[in-house]
Amino acid sequence: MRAVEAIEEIWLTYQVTKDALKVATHGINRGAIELLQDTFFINSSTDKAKSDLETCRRSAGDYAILSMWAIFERHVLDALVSENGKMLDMPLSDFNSSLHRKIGDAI
Amino acid sequence: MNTTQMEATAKFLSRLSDLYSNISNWVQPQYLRVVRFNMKLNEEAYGKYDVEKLSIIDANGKRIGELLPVGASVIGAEGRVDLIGDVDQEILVYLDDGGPHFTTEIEVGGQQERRTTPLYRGVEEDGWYWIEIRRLSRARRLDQALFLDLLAEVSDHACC
Repeated sequence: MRAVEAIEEIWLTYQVTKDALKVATHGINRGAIELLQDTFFINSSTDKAKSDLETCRRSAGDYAILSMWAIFERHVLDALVSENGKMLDMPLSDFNSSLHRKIGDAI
Repeated sequence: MNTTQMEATAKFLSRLSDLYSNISNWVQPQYLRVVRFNMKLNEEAYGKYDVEKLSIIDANGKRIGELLPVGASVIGAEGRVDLIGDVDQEILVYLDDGGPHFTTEIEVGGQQERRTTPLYRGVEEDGWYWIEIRRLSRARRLDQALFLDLLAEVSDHACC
């Protein structure tokens, strides 16, 4: 999967999660137990359910950013490895050979 | 707190008090006693109010379980109190006769059909219930035998 596709999937997951949490919040606010049946919200105090949803909403945002960052970081590393390899195709000089070694060690 | 909120909390407190009185009678033959303690609950729906929690004490003075009120504003119930022991905890909820239910309406060819689905099976009177298996939607009315079983389960206390 390309980095851009992976990021799009993370974004979609985040949007759907956020909307699902919104639906759950509406269900709780309106006392719509038919929506909440067979979920852990049943028998939970209203305040606890709302605070859990808020925590979840914040976590979903944090995880989305973290996941996107991980994909981006992987993409940057792959690009560096690829560009670093190309350096060896050029006429070898002290400068590009030591730069190649330095980048390789860092990666 | 407005009148509706006061009525709701008063109802919850009265139901809790009845439960505590029952528990006091249920545990006596097991050489256990109960002690009530004051605490405060703060719920978005009702604000801050005084409530009692109940400790269950053995003959050596050791607390083996506690009933901790969670609130009157509970999803799918009219109130909740948790039975907490050293090893586990169980949820007790107050349900009205029939329990919470929802109605679905289907219209087919101009004919309307209404179907009422209860959230739990086995709720035939107002009272405190233990939700035996949530996935199977089965509620069991709390009585002495069930309470002592639950107490043994959460506390690992041998005498129950």
